[in-house]
Amino acid sequence: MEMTPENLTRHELIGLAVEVADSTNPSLTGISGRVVDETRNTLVVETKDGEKRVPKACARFTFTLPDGRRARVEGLVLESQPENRINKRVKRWKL
Amino acid sequence: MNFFCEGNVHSLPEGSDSPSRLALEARCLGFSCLIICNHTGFEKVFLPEAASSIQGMEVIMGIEVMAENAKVLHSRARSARARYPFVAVHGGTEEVNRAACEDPSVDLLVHPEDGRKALGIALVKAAQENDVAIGFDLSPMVRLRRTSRSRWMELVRRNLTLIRKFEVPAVITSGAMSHLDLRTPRDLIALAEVVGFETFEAKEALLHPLRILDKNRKSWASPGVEIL
Repeated sequence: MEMTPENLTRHELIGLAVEVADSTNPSLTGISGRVVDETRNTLVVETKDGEKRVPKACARFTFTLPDGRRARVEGLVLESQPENRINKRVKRWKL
Repeated sequence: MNFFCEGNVHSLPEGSDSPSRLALEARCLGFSCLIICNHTGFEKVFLPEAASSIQGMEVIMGIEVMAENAKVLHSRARSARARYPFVAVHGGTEEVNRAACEDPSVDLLVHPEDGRKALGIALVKAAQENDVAIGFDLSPMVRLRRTSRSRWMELVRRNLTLIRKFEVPAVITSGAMSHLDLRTPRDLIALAEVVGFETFEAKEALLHPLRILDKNRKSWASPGVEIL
């Protein structure tokens, strides 16, 4: 499935370049690197300072897609187990 | 420089003044943004281009959706969302209030106390989830007298307590039908304080429509995903 901003929330995120754009925890803002692992509530980002585990619920992520486009995603929308997120999960809310 | 915004104003053919007359008056009174929300059926606003040429004022054409039941509301709100940057709903009956709070296409639910009933907890929770602001039309404060006004104030106070508890944003407006109905931001804040708002809450309520507009201007690929 081709990766577009529309299906980003249903796509595999491991391997994507990511930056934490905004977070309620200031020490997490600005973390940038590549996603190496994902759990239900966190993303593990490999940065030049090592691996950082970032909770999804308190952050907004800027993903860079393979075609160069960038999309900012609310972490709350991604919060689920990666294998379940691939199935259609339509949240009836706007942010 | 403050960025106060009048969120719910009616112009010709529904009100008695053109958008440019309303915009001039609003600018004199101290607003920097005006949202014209005519009801469904009166969408063809008279000379909107004249209003956008006024310096110092941002005039946005929105719509106030009126509906008899939930099904009609959902279809009208969805089609309005595609055409207008600001979608308000004329609150009143419980069914319409509930449907508006559960619809993500809706930005604002205006005067839900119109049906003489206060909002319920389930409604406010749904409004918080779907990011629907609650609009308080302060014209009954001026227009009504005696017991009808005190009953209206009681309903508004109950709604206010609930939206404070669930942190749902509020919007205050004069609900103007002509340029003579418009009030200065200071007057609106004072009227809101009489009803039960705190000063900072009333100020936030005047700034909130701009936040709604900013959010709607961004391009959203899907819920929570913004294209940069």
